Amino acid sequence: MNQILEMKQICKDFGSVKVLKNVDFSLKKGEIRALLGANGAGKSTLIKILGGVYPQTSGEIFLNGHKINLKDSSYSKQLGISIIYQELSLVPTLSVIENIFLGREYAGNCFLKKRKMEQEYADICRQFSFDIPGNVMISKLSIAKQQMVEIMKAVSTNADIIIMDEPTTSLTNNEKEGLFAIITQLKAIGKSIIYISHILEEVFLNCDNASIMRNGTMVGSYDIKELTKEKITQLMTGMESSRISGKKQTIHADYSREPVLEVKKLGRGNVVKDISFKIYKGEVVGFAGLVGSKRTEIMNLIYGADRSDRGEMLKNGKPVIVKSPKQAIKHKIGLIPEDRKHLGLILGQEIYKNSTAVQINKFINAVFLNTGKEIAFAEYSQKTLGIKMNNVRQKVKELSGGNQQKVVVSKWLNQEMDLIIYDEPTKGIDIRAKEDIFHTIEEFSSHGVGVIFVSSDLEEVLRIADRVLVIRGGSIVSEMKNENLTVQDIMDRIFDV
Amino acid sequence: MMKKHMKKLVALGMVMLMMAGIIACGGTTNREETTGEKKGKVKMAVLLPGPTGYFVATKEGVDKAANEYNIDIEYADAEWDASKQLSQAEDFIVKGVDVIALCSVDSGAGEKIVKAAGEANIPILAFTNAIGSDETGKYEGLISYVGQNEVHTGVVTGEIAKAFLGEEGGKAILIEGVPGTTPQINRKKGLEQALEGTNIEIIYNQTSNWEKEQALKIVEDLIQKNMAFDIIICQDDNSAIGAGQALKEAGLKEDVKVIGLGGSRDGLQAIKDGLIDGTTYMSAVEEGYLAIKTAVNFINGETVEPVTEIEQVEVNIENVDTFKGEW
Amino acid sequence: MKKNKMSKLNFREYGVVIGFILLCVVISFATPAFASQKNILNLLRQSSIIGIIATGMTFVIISGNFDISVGAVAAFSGAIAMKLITMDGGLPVIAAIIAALLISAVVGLINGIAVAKINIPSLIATMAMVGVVKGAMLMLTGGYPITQTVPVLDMLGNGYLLGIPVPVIIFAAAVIIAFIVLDKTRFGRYVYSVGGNEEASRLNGIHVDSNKIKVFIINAVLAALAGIVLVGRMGTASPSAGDGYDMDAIASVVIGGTSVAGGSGSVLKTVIGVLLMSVINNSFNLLGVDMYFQYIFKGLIILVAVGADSYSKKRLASS
Repeated sequence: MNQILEMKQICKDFGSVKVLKNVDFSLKKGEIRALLGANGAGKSTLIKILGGVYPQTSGEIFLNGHKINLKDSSYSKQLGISIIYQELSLVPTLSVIENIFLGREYAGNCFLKKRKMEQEYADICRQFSFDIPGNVMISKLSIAKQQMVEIMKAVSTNADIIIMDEPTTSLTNNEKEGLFAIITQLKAIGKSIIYISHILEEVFLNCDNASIMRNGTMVGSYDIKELTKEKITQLMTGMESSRISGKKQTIHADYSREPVLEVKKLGRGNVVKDISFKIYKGEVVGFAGLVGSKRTEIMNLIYGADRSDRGEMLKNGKPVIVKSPKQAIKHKIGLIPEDRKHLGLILGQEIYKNSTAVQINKFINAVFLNTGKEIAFAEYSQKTLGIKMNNVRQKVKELSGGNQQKVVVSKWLNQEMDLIIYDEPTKGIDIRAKEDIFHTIEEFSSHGVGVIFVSSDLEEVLRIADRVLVIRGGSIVSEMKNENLTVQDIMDRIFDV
Repeated sequence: MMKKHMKKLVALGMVMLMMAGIIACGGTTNREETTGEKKGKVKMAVLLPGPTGYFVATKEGVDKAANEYNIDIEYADAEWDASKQLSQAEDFIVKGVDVIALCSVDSGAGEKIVKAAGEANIPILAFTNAIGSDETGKYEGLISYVGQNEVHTGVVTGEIAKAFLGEEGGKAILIEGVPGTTPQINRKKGLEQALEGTNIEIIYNQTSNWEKEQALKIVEDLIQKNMAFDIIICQDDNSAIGAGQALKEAGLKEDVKVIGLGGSRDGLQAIKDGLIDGTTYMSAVEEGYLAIKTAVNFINGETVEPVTEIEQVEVNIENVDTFKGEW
Repeated sequence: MKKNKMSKLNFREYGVVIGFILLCVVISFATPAFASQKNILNLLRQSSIIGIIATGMTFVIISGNFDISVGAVAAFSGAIAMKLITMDGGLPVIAAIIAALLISAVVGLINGIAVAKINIPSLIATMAMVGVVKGAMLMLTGGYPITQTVPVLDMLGNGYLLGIPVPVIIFAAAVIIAFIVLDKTRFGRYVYSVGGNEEASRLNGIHVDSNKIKVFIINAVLAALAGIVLVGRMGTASPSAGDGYDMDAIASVVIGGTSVAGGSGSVLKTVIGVLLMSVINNSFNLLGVDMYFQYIFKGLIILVAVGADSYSKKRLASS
């Protein structure tokens, strides 16, 4: 009965959406537990509840047998729970040591005990073979080193439970070794670790047990020795998904002509590596992968929102330079961004202003904007896409998510685009609106427009795509034609089974 | 950790050390230089209070005199900051000029500057803005004060009012400048002096802070209140123009006289347009010229009056064309 | 290899110091009057008032905000002190000074609450405060300057202690205390932290709001102190005093090398900035540079100083 942590029947609702349903989770002292699941399975939410970021809707949490109420993040820290988030919580203008002790400095009456903190830092470095000089300013360190500092911060607080959320995403192989050594040491001194990762090799290497979640429920916890990669992915997807689902009916792809877009060895720094693929007229290509696989970063390169530093792009066989969205649009490439609220729309503006934003030149008479024309276009979009609104002069923020997304799509109507990129278009939209969005993809592709469909929802990908590309860590790891393809197949590629 | 700040402390220490070194070596070499050059061109510092149009005109006169008398002028503009003017004076004193001509930002600062110049044995003259409480502008420590006697100018406005209203007299509105400033206090004093014993009564006074817009608003409000008055006397032309405009817009300009002060270009034009009925005039260019001339006379050993008063004269529709607006 | 890194670091960090020393050397050759004892002492005394204000402003900018009410607060505090001393049944000078500082602290408190709790951008909040403070000052003084020579104040503004002008001593004291607070106390650390990354600071359990408020209070008190010295120097509390001091203070901080993005910087750098501005002003006067050219030059200096910092940050961010 040396359960250091027990979470019983945890439920979490956000409004009417049930994100966690009766989750049981427990941890032993000195245990390293993997927490696994696909996007949206509920891992983040469970972790945040433990971290005191928000409270559970129902259910109880016990620490060392005592019932606790995690009212805020400071309290959670005090109780010995430390989370290393993916988004770093470091202050860039302070030094490594200053960050490590941030919020818990040693100070006499009012003066900082700098020597003491330096001493302790030296001790920690010795203990964990850590070699980043303490006086360096954080902003001068690479992301990888910053992540190591973040880890050291949690490790040095004498927390009993350390939660690591995708800790190796930015680390080099050397540093990963360093991290794994630290984990071993922590286990030896009795610390418990919850390890979230999609890199299954790491899980097998470091963890004692694995808890697998799916759709907000805890499927179960298993000894790692009893598991294989296939078993894990099966448990994550659930048996039902192994059959072929709603297969794509009509194919509009024209493979006989030049590809509408060909990308050769495109890359940017260490983020996007060696991307090469082709998209044909009327073809819908799905880009599947986990959150953090850098699919959006790849799309940003194609759309000119970021600049590549190597490789080339060809449109209809001719090389093109796309160094800005303006150039992308000129080359008839359009984007429906992942973050529709901040990047796709200007929420405070009227619907018709958003619709005409990209093609504003069409609505100018000599010098001035022709509002009448703008409105006419907006109303045409409304009819064509079935946007539910009171009138086109409404502010976009008043619309539902699905209808907002349709406004984003309307920007590209009537422009004879050659390629449109949909980046996670169905996030946070109701079912009916999703159908409408799929319909627009159908429409575009039937008119010969190439479509790139980025999504974490594998069933959706199977439904619309002609071909599926699997992305991991900024590279393409697999390419499959959508013939007799199952969700399991894609999932296996994603987890490299 | 210590090292980071050690470096900065060292750097700062270096700077301090260097300055100390310069002080030690520098000493007072500048004084010898200026005495040597005394036989040469006279060096004069002219301290202006702020960048307004009036002083552009004054500068013209100063430059003219400088040319004539062959002296070197260096200007400083205090941007209406008394502390800055004090600093500028101190810098000139250190530099070693032969004479200082000062138009002070305010009287208090002026007194400090006169004191500093006195301690350094540099003759100093004041112009346009008087220093100290004597209304003639006389102040101990000055070679002379060159400029108007604000009280007398106030009297002139009173005389103009008397000419307009005659024996009958009438009700007058007084629109004043920024309260507490020497011009405001003294011009009002002169006006009251002139009106004493007459049938002209000041029934209301308010400050327009020398601003046209504010004066306009004041008169508009008075008209709204249906206050009855026969004449509006202002302490500057801009306010007078504002007052006249308000009356014109209300269709009352025929019934009420408006008097300004100063003789600016706008003011003179306003008389020609019938927007105001009278104002005063003195030449800012003359003022500047006279200031320099007086200083030069002093340097050459001549006796100089403690006050060189420039009188403002009356301007009305009859003689307005004889005056040339300078600012 | 290490040596290379050292020199690169040095130039960027100490570029301003080097430039400053060079400037002093060049000017002392151009005009001998610069290097005299009297001139240097004048220069130091002239920079003290802005220097005290800039010291407070350093806190504010490091914490990621601006405060343009400092000029008004300085004038206000001088007016309060003078009024309390010169009115019927007047207070002793020390009491009047303390009252002025306390009241200014309240102004700082209001600024802090407006920015931290109500979330008004600091530029707007302090701009509005200028109106409030000026209005209060006009109500207090009726728009009239208060002139009187008060011995204690005169000593503060014009006196010498061991041959050094008293304002310089006050400036130096302010700098030393500010340095100790920012560098050696937990509060100082938190000022940097909040300016460097507010969200991260919050995540680490730092009370962002209360730290911001404390910074505004400190700034207001220092501005008030400068106002006392000013009143001592001029012998007058003038309603129009303090205009433009906020810009001069911000310029000094920024030219000294503290980044307007917040999170880094030092009062020592500000001292260099203050001295640099003073030397430039002083040398212009001594060299007889056309007075209108001075406006242009000062504006350009600010553009260059801040521009270099902002641009280098931009390059760093996109790499």
